[in-house]
Amino acid sequence: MSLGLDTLRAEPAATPRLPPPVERTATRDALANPADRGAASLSAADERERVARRYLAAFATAFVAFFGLVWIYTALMPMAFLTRDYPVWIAKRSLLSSCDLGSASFFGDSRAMAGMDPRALPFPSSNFALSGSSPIESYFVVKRALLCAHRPKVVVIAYSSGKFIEDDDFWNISARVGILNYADIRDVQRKSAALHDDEIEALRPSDHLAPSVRAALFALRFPPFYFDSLVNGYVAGRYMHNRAAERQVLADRGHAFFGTAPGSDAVAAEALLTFKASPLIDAYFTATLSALAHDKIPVVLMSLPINDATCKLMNPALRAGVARYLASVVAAHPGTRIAGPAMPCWPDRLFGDAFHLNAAGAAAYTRLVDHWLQPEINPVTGSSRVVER
Amino acid sequence: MLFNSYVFLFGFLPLALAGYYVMTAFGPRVSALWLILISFVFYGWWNPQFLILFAVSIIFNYTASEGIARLEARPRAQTLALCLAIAANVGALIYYKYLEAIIRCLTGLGLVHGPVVSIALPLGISFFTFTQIGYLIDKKDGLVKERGLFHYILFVSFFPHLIAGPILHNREMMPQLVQPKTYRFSAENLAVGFAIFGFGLVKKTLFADTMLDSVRAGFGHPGTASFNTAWVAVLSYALQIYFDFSGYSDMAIGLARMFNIRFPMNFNSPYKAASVIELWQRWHMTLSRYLALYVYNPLALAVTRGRASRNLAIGRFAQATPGGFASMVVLPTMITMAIAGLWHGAGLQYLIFGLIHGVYLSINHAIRILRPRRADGGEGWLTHPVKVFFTFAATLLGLVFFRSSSVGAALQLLGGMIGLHGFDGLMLPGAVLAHLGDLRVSLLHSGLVQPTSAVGFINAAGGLSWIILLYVIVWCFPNTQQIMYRFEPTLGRVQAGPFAAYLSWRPNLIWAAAAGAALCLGVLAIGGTSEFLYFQF
Repeated sequence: MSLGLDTLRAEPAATPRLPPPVERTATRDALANPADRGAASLSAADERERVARRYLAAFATAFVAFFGLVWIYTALMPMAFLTRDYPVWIAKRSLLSSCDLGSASFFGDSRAMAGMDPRALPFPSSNFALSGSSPIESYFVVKRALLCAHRPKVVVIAYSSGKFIEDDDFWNISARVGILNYADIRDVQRKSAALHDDEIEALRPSDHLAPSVRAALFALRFPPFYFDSLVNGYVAGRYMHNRAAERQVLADRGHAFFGTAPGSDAVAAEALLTFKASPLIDAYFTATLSALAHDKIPVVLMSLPINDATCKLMNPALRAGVARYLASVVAAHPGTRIAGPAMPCWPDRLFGDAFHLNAAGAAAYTRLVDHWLQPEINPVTGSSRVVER
Repeated sequence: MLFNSYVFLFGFLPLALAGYYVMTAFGPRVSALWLILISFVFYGWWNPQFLILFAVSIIFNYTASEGIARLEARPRAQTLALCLAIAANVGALIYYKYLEAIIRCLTGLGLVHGPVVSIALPLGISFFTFTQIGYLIDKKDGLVKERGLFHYILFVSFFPHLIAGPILHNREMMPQLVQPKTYRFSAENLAVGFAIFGFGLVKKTLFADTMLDSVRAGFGHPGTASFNTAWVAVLSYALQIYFDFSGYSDMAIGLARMFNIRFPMNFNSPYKAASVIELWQRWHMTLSRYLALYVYNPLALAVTRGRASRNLAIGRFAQATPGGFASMVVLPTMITMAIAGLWHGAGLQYLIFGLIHGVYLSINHAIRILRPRRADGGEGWLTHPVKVFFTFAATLLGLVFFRSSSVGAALQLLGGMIGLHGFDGLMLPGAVLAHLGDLRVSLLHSGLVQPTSAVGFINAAGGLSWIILLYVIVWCFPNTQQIMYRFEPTLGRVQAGPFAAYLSWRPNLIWAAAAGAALCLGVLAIGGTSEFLYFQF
């Protein structure tokens, strides 16, 4: 009687046979080639080794060839397989490179992208908000905007509370899509090291790559970093959809919706957050404000609404923390002001999903933005009645 | 360092192989020294502080084994020395692996007060501890032929088996390590090793890791998992652990082969098993062997001796009696499987996993005793698939406990599997529903159908198809060892599998292209590197 392991019990006693026995089939395979027949005089072991060496050479060649082809494809055809973040960024990059900034330029995360519609404003404007981005990404996008000769009259920056706490999409979106280039990523890594704030590196703890190597691999579109998108995008299945998205976002001057439901009572991440500004994000946020102040471009900080379902579960200290933080930033940066309350609660019917405003919500919020920006857009006639500090 | 990490694949492995083959020019001892060196680098990469513990463990056990050998003339003292050495090993294992859980449990019961100190778990401690305990026991029994410290260090530290097995036996490893042939370049072994490694990498990164999301959907929220979600999660987890462990074993076997060393088979298509006894002969085979050798057999022997001393029957007929069956079969089986369960982790759910399998094995043995095999040894054409199905279903129940964060969570998920948390309707795209006319309203109203977008439908159907395809691979295709059977991939004999005419590896151009593509696919699928499930053990 045994555990049922009778057959295994005898195994250790078996003496291992080394080396592996002669593989006649392998030899036959090699000898099937007439050119190899001359080698028949070699001993069987030598012949096996020769066959194996040839196999190894072919194997290595096949690996390099396949990997190289995939690498070329990921480097040249990101539009064919990446998520919508890519065409959205390409559209915004077009606006940036043509210096089409408008009188007002909006920077922020996906909430700002969905909630501020330039087409609904009576003055020219562009929405450069990017999904998943934090003030870190804004810093680099704003820097590119400041290279333009024609500057906007006002810059609006609007981030969700969580984006001051952590930039959890730094690698998955910003680095992958190419919003940040090698130099940008290295800049973040260096600042991160100087501040002893390793939150960005800690997002990819298990790839064990040196920071500079990781930055380079993202910049070079190292294919394993894109494998998920290649699979989910069916290799080239997203091309048409992405091209359409690019045209649409360009036509809409950077605005794009996320959820489009006629209402959402789904709970957003704010329900679980407690506020503590990240040192790294704070450094880039204040650097952005300083750069804009240096160029004498007024900045208005806004806070996009959250739905009632989230508000009910949210810790009130979160809103107070955000308000305190923004007030302290404004106090340190002349030319910057806050418009509107921090994290206002809006009815669920104005949300297309847990986070983002739907068409009705965006229209309502854009009307408010119009009001709030009047002091900068129309300094003579503009009213400051809704401005709050 | 993970086998499926960029550092390992593009840095460590090429360097280790190149160094090894260069060192062969300087003789076997230098090559072996190189293997020891790179193995320690491999182990210390993750957390260098555990290198000291690892080194102390090796030196302690080697010294203890030498002491045990010297006490050969004094059996009682020798047994005492062995017990002390085992106790020290088990004590270290308990300290690092179980103490925190024990204190948490006692704190929860109010028996201990104060903060619970977190104890970091040294990588692979279960594996190198078990390996060395086995060595000590064999030393006491006089079964160890090679006694040199140098080769002992290499036996314990050789990196392919170091952190997740297979659990090696000195009698199958030491003879290979002392052979000069081991330390020569062999293109054939390198080719075979890379092929096996490539299969393993694909299993891990492309098959196992893609199951992660559906596993999390059920096991992450067991209290709300619907019938569909729970079943998909459990079936996905069965695939995930299968390909994860099988992939890891392949990679370890392939790596060892690159260095001219053959490992024992560790995983042999366990879901093809037609009984739970057979399952354990196929699943984590080296652990099963270890437990049989060092736990089950001594226990069974002690019980048998105890019965004999009390003049009770001990033969096969005695096993058919309730008392004999309980003491000679159930007792050692349950104890062994409880240890097997706890070996996998410090938690009640692991103990229950082990006990469930103990019950399965006991029932299986009872059936064998009470209903012997047919004289012709055959079984009906339908019988085998049915047996495989029931064995797999029984395995799923155990896996629910194995993967769950607690016993409560496991019970909640089992509740979901029998529909206690409701059912999700079949997702159909709006375009299809529009063609159903009045039926659409009633289907939607009844909840049997849910509307979804075309993309959502394609994604859901694609996910389900992927799971089905992987089960087809599991049940209908040969495993890695069977594909490689012509080149003796592991110690012991390997039989050809299904489709052997087409799916048996040879060193020709077609297989070179296929293996190159497979390795490329495996490397691509690394994406975000994930941990092996078996690392926690």
